[in-house]
Amino acid sequence: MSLTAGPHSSRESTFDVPGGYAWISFASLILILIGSFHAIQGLAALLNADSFEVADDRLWVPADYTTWGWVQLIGGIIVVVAGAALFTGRLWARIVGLVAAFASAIASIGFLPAYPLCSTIMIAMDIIVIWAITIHGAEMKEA
Amino acid sequence: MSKHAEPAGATPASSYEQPSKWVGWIVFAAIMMFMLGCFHAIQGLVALLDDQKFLVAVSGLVVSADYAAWGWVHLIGGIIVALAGVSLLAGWLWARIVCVLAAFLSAIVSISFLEAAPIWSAIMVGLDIIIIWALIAHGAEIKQADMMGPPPR
Repeated sequence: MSLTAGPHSSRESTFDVPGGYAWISFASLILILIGSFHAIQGLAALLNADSFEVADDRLWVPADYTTWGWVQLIGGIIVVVAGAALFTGRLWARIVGLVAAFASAIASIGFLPAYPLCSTIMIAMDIIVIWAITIHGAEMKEA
Repeated sequence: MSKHAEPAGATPASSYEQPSKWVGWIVFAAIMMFMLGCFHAIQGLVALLDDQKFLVAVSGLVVSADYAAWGWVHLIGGIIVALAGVSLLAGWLWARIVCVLAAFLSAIVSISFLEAAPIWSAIMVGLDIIIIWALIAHGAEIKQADMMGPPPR
């Protein structure tokens, strides 16, 4: 781990980039992707609600698809903004990124019966984002 | 992972600025525990409020208690799991052990509930495995951070 701000030591793996931007950039891009997926799901709920697997009273959090569509769309945009802010690597951006990934996972669970595979993939991506921010967030401190 | 030979964010070194408390395996495990608790609580609420959504009738479950009982188990269990996650951040000495036990019990309960909500229960078992891995494989860093106390400000 980058204990000094100098060039990385031979102990670090080849995946490390000097300066520690790699993992935060990774987390930012994945978070932007997650937000885009949510926005697409929201648009699908608003425009083409027949494409879902179940009727909207069968969702784990039963709201009608219009409500879910707006929640997903606006939430997705917020998550994209949080992901873009995460590129700065600042502490507040990392905390906001964690909250965004957490909220995205909760929303994906509520929406799970409609798009089972997609929701599962997005929860996995949320866990990866949380892991990247918490475990590798320290590397941004020297940057 | 050889690059974690030194714990990330737990070693008070004078040669560099101390990273904030929002890094490290403690925070990851605590957030995962909190997420697991929320998932269990939502499952409990669904079981209590609208159990027609589940895939099978009560007799199809491995443990055929009625959904009201399952709902309370999930809801109260979820709250306990979330509190255990918070205790991990607070630095309680037994927090790691309690969290591993909570994840273990959560996995067993999720497996029993598998017919009712297969994908959801599978996700939660995966989350349990991640939590147990984080707490045990990287437990040394968590324990060291607990013993060293909060980083100097």
